[in-house]
Amino acid sequence: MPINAVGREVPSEINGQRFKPFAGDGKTPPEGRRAGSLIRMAPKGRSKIVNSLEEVIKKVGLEDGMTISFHHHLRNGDFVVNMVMRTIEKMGFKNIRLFPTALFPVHEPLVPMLKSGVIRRIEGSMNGPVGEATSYGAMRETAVLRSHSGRVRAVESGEVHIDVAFIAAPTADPYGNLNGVDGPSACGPLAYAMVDAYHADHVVAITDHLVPYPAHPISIYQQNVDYVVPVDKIGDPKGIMSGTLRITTSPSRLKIARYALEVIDRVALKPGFSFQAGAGGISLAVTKFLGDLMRKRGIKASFINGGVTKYVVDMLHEGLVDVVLDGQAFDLDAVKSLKEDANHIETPLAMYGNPYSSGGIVNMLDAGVLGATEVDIDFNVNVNTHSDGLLLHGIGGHQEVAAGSALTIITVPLYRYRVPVVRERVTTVTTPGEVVDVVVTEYGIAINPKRDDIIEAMRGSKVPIWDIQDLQKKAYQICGKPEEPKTTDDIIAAILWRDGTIIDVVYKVKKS
Amino acid sequence: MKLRRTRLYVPGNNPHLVENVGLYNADAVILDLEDSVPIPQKFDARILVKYSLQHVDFGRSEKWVRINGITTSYWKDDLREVLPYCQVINLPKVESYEDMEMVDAEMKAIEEELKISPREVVPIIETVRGLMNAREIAKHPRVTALAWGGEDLTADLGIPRKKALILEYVRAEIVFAAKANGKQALDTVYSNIRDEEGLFEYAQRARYMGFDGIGVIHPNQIEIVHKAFRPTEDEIEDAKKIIEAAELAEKEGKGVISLNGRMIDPPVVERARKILQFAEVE
Repeated sequence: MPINAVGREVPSEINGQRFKPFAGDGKTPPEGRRAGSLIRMAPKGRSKIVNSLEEVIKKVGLEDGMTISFHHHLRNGDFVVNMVMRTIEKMGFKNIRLFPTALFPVHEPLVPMLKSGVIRRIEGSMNGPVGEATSYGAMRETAVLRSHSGRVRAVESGEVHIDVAFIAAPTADPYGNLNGVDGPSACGPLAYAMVDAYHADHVVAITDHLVPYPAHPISIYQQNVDYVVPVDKIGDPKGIMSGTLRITTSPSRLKIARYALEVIDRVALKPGFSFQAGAGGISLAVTKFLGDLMRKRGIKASFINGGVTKYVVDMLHEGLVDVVLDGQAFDLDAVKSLKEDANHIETPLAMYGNPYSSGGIVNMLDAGVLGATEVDIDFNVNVNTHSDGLLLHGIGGHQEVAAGSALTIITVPLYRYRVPVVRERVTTVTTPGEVVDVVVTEYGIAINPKRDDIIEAMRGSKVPIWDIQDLQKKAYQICGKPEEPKTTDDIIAAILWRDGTIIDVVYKVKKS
Repeated sequence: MKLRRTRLYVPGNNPHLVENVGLYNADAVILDLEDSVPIPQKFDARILVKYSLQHVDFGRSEKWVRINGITTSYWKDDLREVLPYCQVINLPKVESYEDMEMVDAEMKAIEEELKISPREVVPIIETVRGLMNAREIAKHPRVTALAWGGEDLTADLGIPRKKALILEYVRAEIVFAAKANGKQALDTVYSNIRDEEGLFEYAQRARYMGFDGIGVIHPNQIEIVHKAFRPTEDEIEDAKKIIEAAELAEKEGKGVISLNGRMIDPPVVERARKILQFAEVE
């Protein structure tokens, strides 16, 4: 097997499909033309409503082995993936390739379908039980994980062809115009589903909020939607919205946030700057502190790209930022603002960070603050696996934000549960060190030596500055040298860089 | 004199809370063996504290231990285990000079046996009797600062803690007792960890009351208290000018210090030095 640019041995073929080894960010040029979908014609009549999932699955002509897709805007409150897959299982289909943007703990019912062969493999993020089952070998073929934008690239390039896209629609009209801002299962934008709607051969909307034609606003337009299936409920608002997300109160996490803020202040903060926001306790704290600092200094940002929360929305409405670009809403304040504020803009995911496009939002970012499960002395970052080797998280937008943003900060505790987070070698490389600038821990920061400008900007700061190797040694001094995960030689998942090259693979974990 | 704006109380029975204490820049960290440790855990906590003092990084923080009070059966064992590894013993419910003598004798024996330097004691005045004897207690050579606690005191008096009007008098008495003997005065904690503004006001009030610091119960309180104890820009500027004038006078061999035609008395110079110390100006 070839060795790629981050020193990992990777296969040339996954599930019979050829993949190149990761050669470095921007080192593998695109080839070919964009892929298209089946050209089809709407039947006569003014309604696309079909009354059952079984009927719609017959109408789209689903066959064994086909690829079906879902989006994850309903997150851990989603009912649609399980609902559709149970129907598919009941109808006796086999060998389905599942192509979701992400799966959550709520999708645990898929695990038996992996074992029984209803699903042959999943290509998409797996958060929680499905990933864990995959780690122990439940999936017949090899999982493929892509970043949000890498998934867009895969669809546009024809690397993955979607036969049927099932789109959970918080609001739909009978002729297939959809939005996510109204209805009992409102989720905000429908950004993840847009590329599927344009490129799938068949598109089925599933809704619990049917409104008279035309639905408005419109996120996904009628010309891309073939059928509309009304159901009782598409999701549980408690799982869709995390409610008011809480800023961390942990003093060590707050310290991390303060250190990250100082780096942003010294390196990136200027009138008109832009940054990537996210959920998660540290990220929310950074966003809030940044807002406080901007208010104090009288600085206004040009845009925030999100992962939108109440904290971001408050900054917009206070006038601390001109525009919010929104690919995902995390709370009801974000949904309401998207609906009501013209400066809060829903962005299709194709606009986010696809490297094989004419340019994404991430290329315009001045600062991005990201998390990790592990970081190593080459600044490589793992967000997919835990230190025991289990595949428990998706890539999300980590790769594109790191690659695109002018300043990429990774915020991590030095260790968790007495297992070092900063280590000699990450269990899995998700994002290569070449696109990571600063690692921030509660003990201080480490700056990528190739960023002389940041080293210079941090001169005179009270934030402790470490060589990354010393930071790793400090972690080992406190916790001891971490144990290697107990794995076999079987590859259960491939991690793709956003350009479609293989950056790493995940091995099957031995059951203890 | 050491800066003691903040002393962070950390329960001695919780390794998770102890492991990061050096990160937060408290002036002192107190590993507690007294009230935060339930009786069945007294022995375990003592051992945990002993090893934590030796192996956990305390950063720039002074290492204190609050041992159990002298009316309990634990305090001597506490001293024996932790004394070699800490700098200050925080002694609860001290009521008299004789109490200090008793602890002093015990400490002396351990120090001589182990050939270690004498440790300091910061007694906590928390009974009416202790308050009446505070001026005597502060005289003891081991004592470098006086602290106080309100719960037992208000219980002694039979008044609810939150409504106790007498506590302002108690504060004043602690400050006088300490300062009359050239010792530091340390105010008690502010227990609402979510109220940052309240904490700032409380700490600033303590400062203007004459205290050198307050106790903190959460690391998130430390920075706020340090800010509250930081002199204002005007105070710092004035202090710098006074120190410069004093240095100039000394250099020129003048007995009288003058600034802008005004005579500066020695206590004013002393106060200026203290202000700059609180401002963390070298």
